[in-house]
Amino acid sequence: MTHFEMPLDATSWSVLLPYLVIGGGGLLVMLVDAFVRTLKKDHLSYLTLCVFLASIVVQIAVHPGEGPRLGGMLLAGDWSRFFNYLFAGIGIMTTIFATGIYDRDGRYRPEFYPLLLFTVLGMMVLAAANDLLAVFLGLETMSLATYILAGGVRGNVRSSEAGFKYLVLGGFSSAFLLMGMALLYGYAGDTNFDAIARVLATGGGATILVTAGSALMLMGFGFKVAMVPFHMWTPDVYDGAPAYVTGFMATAVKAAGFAILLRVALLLQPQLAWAWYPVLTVFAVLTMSLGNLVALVQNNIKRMLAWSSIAHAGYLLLGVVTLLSPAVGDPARQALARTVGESAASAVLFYLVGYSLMNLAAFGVVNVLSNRGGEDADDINRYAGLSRRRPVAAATLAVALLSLAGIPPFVGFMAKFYLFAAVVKAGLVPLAVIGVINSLVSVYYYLRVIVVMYMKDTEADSYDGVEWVSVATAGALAALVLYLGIRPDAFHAAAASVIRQLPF
Amino acid sequence: MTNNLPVGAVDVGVTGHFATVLVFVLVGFAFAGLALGVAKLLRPSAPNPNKLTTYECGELPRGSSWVRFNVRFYLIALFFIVFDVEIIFLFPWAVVFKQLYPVPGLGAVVFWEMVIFLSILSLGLAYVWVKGDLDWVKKLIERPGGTDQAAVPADEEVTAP
Repeated sequence: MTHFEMPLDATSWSVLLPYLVIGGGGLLVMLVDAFVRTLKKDHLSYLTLCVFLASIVVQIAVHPGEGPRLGGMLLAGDWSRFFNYLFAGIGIMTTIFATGIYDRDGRYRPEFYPLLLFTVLGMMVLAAANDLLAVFLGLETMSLATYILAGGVRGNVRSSEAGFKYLVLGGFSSAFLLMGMALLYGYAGDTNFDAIARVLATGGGATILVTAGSALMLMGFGFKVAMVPFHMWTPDVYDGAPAYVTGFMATAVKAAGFAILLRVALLLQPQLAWAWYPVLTVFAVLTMSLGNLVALVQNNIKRMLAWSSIAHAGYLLLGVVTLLSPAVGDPARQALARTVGESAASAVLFYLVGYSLMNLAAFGVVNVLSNRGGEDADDINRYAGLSRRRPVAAATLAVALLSLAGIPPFVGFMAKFYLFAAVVKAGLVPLAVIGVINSLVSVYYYLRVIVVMYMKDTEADSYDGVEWVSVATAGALAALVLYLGIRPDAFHAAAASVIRQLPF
Repeated sequence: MTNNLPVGAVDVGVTGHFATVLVFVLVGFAFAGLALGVAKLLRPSAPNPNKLTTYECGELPRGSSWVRFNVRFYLIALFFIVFDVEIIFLFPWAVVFKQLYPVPGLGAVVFWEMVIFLSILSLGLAYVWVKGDLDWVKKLIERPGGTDQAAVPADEEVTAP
């Protein structure tokens, strides 16, 4: 019976607390929505915010230590803590943006709040997963709720199309992922990451199984982070989904995907770097280039941001590529390998946070403006003269877009700087050059929006409502984008310390 | 993996297990192909357009078979699946529970875990019940000048596609 014995002592439960808070909070919000008749519209939103804040407080208060917990299912420590904060923060921003919309358009959708909480629960499990089963559980919890969120505007054909496409293609990718996990289990005889690492270290088992298995898993994760050539769903889904959901998907889902991609890449690095490195290099270059090139010709701001999010996935993949590069795997130069690996992984973490901040700021503004109605609400030309009508919103969007373009002094620049520095440190100068060229290309389409906003004449626009809570939140995010761009050191050091505590 | 093999079984390793699956798949395809092939060889061939019509218990089919089913059927089906899956979870749990119940401290945990799972499912049931999704006839509104397709629940508003 030793196999079943799980150490269910006090520390194990304390590891679970943040997850229980979010999951139980989701159920609570659901029940309150169903049973409390006297509910006012915004109450569920306040309750959801309270649940997120409670999870953050629990996360701060409880220190379960480091290492695998709950029979090796979840990894406790700074890594999962880091991502739990990130997801809770993105969840709070999304709740605020969504609530502002519900007030205005009269289509009140209470099921949004519990679904958001369940999505975040899945992401937290996914990022902290230390076992293939936990990976799949977290990924599916996240995905199933996201499918509904994407198709959440009932009666809107575009939103339904987005939800349906995402569901069907996501089902495919999950099947690939599951098959890959089965092969990896066949290789290692265990689903636990630590056990797989042990088998990999001894070099036993059939290599074909782990190679094919990891390739299939890469497809599954590549779909979630919108890596070319598994990106085709992205523009349609990001365009069709409501803007606050798009912002959530482009930041939180991507961060969760990269969290698990980093874990798996670090896990398989000793044995499989030879296979993953060339493949991911090609994919990273393709992802960056295609994302930026297609974004150039977009007239719809949500589609433009969708393609730009593909491009950013490409930059982030450069970090993963660096982790797998020969410089890191070189046993002769252990010290250099360690520093390069650490700086690449911490650069990815820093980039994820910076990207989440600037993208949420951009989507916060787009969300308010896409609510003004009309087929062309998201058309870039309708942003003309925004600087005069709504200066705060325009300035926020401008800061976010400049940061996305990687222009100093915003966080996007520092994020790219750390990332490309790590790439160069690993001796991959051509890749860094491709990355920089791509950044230059991207400046065009980001600046185009700013030019339209600030230099074109005001056109007649009947929509004059300013959802000030959303705009103020987006503005605060933009301020954070600026602050982290000027003072990135402390945060970057924190990201590096998170990486140092990973078991492998 | 090696210590709980049945008596007389040979440990074939993990690759061997995959080979078993492969053999199973191949035998499955061969079996189906053989059955269909033999039937093809033996049966008389007498094509007739009437044989291609939809079978509706002997009645003459009326209209196209590609009709839209009411979405409420899917709701019922979905509902059935949820509780079907619950049963699928309950059976292995019951088997394991019998082994784990004597283990000190663990029996209670395993028991309450299932209680929590079932209560979450019941919460879902309560939710759809209160929301009126179990009623066959949900409150409907007619869109001005609309047909039966345009009927939407009262709490929804149709936006421009």
